[in-house]
Amino acid sequence: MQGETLLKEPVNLIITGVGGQGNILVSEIVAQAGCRQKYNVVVGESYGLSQRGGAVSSHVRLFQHQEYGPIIPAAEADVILGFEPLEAARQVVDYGHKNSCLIINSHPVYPIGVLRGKNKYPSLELLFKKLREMVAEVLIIPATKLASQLGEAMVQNVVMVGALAGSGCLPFRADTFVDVIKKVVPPKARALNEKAFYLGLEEVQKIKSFNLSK
Amino acid sequence: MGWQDIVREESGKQVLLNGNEAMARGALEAGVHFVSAYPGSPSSEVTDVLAQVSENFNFYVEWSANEIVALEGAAGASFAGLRALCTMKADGLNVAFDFLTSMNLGGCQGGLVLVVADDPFGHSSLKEYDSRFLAAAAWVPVLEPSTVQEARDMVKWAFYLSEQIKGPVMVRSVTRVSHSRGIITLGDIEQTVREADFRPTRQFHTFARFHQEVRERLKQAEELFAVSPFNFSFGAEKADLTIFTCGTGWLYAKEALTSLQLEDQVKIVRLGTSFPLPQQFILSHLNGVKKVIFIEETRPFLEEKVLALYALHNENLGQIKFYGKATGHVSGIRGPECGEMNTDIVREVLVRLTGRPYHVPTVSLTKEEKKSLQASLPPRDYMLCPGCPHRASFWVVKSALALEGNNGIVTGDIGCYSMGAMETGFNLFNTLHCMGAGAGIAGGLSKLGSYGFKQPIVTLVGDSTFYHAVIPALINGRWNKANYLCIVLDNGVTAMTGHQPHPGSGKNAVGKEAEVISIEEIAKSFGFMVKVSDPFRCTEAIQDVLEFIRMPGLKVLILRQPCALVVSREQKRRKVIVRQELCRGDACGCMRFCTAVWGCPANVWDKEREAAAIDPAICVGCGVCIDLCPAGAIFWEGDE
Amino acid sequence: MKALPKGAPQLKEEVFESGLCTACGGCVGYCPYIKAIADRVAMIYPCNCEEGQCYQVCPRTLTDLPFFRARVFGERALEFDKFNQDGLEVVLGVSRALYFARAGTAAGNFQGQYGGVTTALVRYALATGKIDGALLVGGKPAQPRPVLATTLQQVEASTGTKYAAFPTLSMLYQSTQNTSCLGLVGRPCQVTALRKMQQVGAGAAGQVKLAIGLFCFWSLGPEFIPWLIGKELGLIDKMDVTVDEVLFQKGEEVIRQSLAEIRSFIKPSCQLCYDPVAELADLTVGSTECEAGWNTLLVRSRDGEDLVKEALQQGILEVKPYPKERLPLLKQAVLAKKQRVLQALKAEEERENSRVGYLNLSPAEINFYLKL
Repeated sequence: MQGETLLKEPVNLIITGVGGQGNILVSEIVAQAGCRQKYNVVVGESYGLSQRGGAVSSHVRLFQHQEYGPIIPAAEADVILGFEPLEAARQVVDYGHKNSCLIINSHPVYPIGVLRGKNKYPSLELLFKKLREMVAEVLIIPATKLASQLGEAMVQNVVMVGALAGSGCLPFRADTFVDVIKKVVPPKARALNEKAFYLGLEEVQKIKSFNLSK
Repeated sequence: MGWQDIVREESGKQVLLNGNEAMARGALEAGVHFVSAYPGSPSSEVTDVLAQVSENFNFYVEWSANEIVALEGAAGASFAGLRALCTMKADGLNVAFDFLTSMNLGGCQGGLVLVVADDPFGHSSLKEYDSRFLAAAAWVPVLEPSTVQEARDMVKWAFYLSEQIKGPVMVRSVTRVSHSRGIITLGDIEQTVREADFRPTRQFHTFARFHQEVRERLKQAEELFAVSPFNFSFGAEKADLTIFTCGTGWLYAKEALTSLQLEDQVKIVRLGTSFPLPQQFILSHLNGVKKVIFIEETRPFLEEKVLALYALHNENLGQIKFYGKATGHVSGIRGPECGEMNTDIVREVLVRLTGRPYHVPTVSLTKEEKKSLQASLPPRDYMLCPGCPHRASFWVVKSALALEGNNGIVTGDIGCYSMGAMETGFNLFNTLHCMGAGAGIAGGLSKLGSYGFKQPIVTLVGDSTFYHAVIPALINGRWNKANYLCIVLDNGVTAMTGHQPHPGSGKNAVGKEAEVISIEEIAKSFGFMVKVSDPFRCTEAIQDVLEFIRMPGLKVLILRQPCALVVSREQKRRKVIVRQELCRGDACGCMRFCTAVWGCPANVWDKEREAAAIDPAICVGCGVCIDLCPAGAIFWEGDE
Repeated sequence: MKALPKGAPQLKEEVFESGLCTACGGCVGYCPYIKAIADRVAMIYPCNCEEGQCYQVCPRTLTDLPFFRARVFGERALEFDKFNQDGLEVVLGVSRALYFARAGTAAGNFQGQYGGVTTALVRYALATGKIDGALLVGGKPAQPRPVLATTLQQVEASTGTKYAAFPTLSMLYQSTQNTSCLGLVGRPCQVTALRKMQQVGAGAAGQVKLAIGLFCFWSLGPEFIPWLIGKELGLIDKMDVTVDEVLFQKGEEVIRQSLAEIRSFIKPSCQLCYDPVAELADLTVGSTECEAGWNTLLVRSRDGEDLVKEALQQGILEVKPYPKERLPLLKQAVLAKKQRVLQALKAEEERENSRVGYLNLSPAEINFYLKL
């Protein structure tokens, strides 16, 4: 396995969200993209009961020299791709560090305790402010909104893959992702997913150029 | 995806697979003839994948009614000289255990490999435990892969080993092997054709006098293990401090060691053959060592075995201090003998014993920062899926028992509907244990009338569970005149583990049409009062439950609606909408019933308009909330 | 009356869990938390509503009887401090007339309870458009069901007393879109609940223009019907209760059971009922306890009086004077019941955590009864 040299070994990515948001598909896409660019890769994921509305997370690790286990050590996640703000923040507590990059879908999915009125969902504005104070980069993507514009809110996960691709956090080319997406999604969903990917990619580029102009 | 690569890609090719897919590939490469299993996370995908490719390779695959039947079937194939694979989760090994301990005495013919997947931390299990102890109790050799690649390698080799020793071999996986993805190099698929061959002279019996033969088989296995490349060492050749590890522990230990740059001071001994231990190999690595750390999931299996070995040889080995789970030195947040292993746990022990500080590769967040963030994050409990028929069934039972009044007791069982013990299931269950337990407990409770027990008793069992473990409890109840209501939550599939078919699904493992073994016909043949109701028609179903509770004896009520995940995949869903001007919201007469109580994730609260709404992205169109809305504000689109 | 700052949690504690629910149905069907199936009423999920309609309309939560008497009867409402020891007539509540009554020749052919007065009046009110629907308990005694009768046939199909308490008021929260003027035949607790519902504007209670109360010293709880079915009496056509016997009529056959047998099914809430004569109704109807084929009829409100007068003129109803010698017996029975309940409530009040101080009466009224 000989990709371009990684800036850091291993590169640790966490994909997190709520059961049913399509975590596993995304970890598959990222891992396959890693393979195509000749990196070694390991993914640890949880399914079964956790897929039933609970918090889910997949750990993806890219490496070139030494083999690694499927769980990222505490405070060593370089990128956190969050399909849900609360879950993204939860991963920051355990796995985030000062240089972590967070890419977060801003659409909340309320936990049952919040729906029942037992707990309070944090204000998104304050939550994102707090996260920005803690880590190097926080990219907020209205992924569910963008996906809904395509008529299928479910593809927010692929919008987020686009955002990941555009963020520059991983040394993967956009066309690598597109090739993998074409391979892993069923033929009839390919066009939709490709559109979703580019929506995410363009959105993150807009945010980044806006940040630069500041 | 993975399973396609297993079939398409050629030997020598590198592909990304998860551990279960890799084990399936291992069985294919070994030329497996017969596969049987009962699904259970994290083991299910091994047989899921083999079922998908069985026609390409022309071998037999079945989902069995339970684990012991599965193992018995696989043993049958082995007795006829064929290679057989049987897969299950750790809990399933208990079910198959009676047969395993028996058949191991008589041995087998064709390679018989048992893949058992443990679930440390209980990601998708109610309990976590260590199947290696059961294998050791049954005197069955255990191979323990650390990686996806090894999962393939070991399953393949296990067939060879089984045929060498003429006994079953267990491959013990865990969640972080089965549900990890990694790159593996594919090997050749065995093409030799075998005919079934069960000669009348051949006998496979269970008698106590055969114990000696099992010992011999284990000795034979140990001889092969002594030279197995699955056992190796890493790091310093000679070291005072040595880590003994197996399974997932290996890569965590390696990462911990390299991140502390201790490769030249500490040795790691990796055991791939956990039982029986290769004694000479271990003794050679204990020689000259002062401190030993054990890194394994979940219980101290390796630790106890090595400690026993040390006790026999301590005169030659000198003083060694041991650090592990039994000693309490190796511990995650839940304590030493539970939860998953990880790099941090290993690193902490190494730092403590070597004094070598760990320099994190980047700047950590401060404790205060983390604490303040954590404090603002509400927990997220499990939730039944949008449109899940279990939610309606739980509501029906909850309502019926409230209306009945006499403090009814609900005994639960294992499946998605175990969430009946949680908030999303209205905290309905009084008991929750293992498959089939609910019906047995209900039967026992119903015999306590003479001690003053007068409460109505309801047990909730799943359809797959019904076939798996409930039938004997029902027969017992009928025979001994038990008095309870057994409600079968029939959603047509084994939903929790990934929608595998069961005897009532009308399909077999490879998707071919199969006879439907009707739950109602079985129950009727036992002489029970039986009725099928629709949980989505709550009012009628509540009446049925009430009527059945009041009838004497054991009754069976089937609440039938297909799994919402299957429905959402297969059918075009009818849209549900809220006329928000009719919503009572926070006012008396509603109190946000649909979001706060009913709790379907598709029933959401529109903060801006202060009214209920439907999340069209996830609503599957079951329509139950239309009937439950007290203000009549929810409609089918077009009906408003 | 000022709003009561109590809601579902208190209703659960003070009424449901204390066994005081009368199954009137006044709280059933508005919200998703309280449900009824047949004659059973329960709170199926805790509701945290702090100021709930369910609490306000319940006849076993704080009930200001003098207030409702004044509201229903205006200047004729009873003022107990004006009565002395001899004012025995007040125990029956406000009344304009007291008769023995039965359905008249023009009332049609149906089989009512005793004299068929209730059925005759409801039929007449419906036929003449005074009401366009009536809330009744239909079906046979072992299969009671709530009925919103809008046709004469439906009324006739609902004749005969059902002794099982049935939560008919729940219907005021449903299927009243096609009606504007309703009649109600109910137990005294249901009439009280109706008045409370009208006060807070609950459901379609405002539509009820004619409330016919029944004399009721007790009703039967949910265990009664399974018992009937167990005794193979599930198909009886009619049921009647005498001093010491229960008569079940199936076709021509009459089956007798001792009253003691069914006493255990009496709802515990009936033991604390202060009002066996439906004081807040327009008319109260009951048995005579002495003359078969006749009812006792108490005319209370002006509306009730008008209806009875008209019915008499049309030959729908036939009346004769209430026998003088029977009056003290009737009053004594009611008086004894009120005194029993007052004493029980008083005893409860002295106990800690009392949950049953539900009646708001003037000290004069309490003194009036307790000193008699």
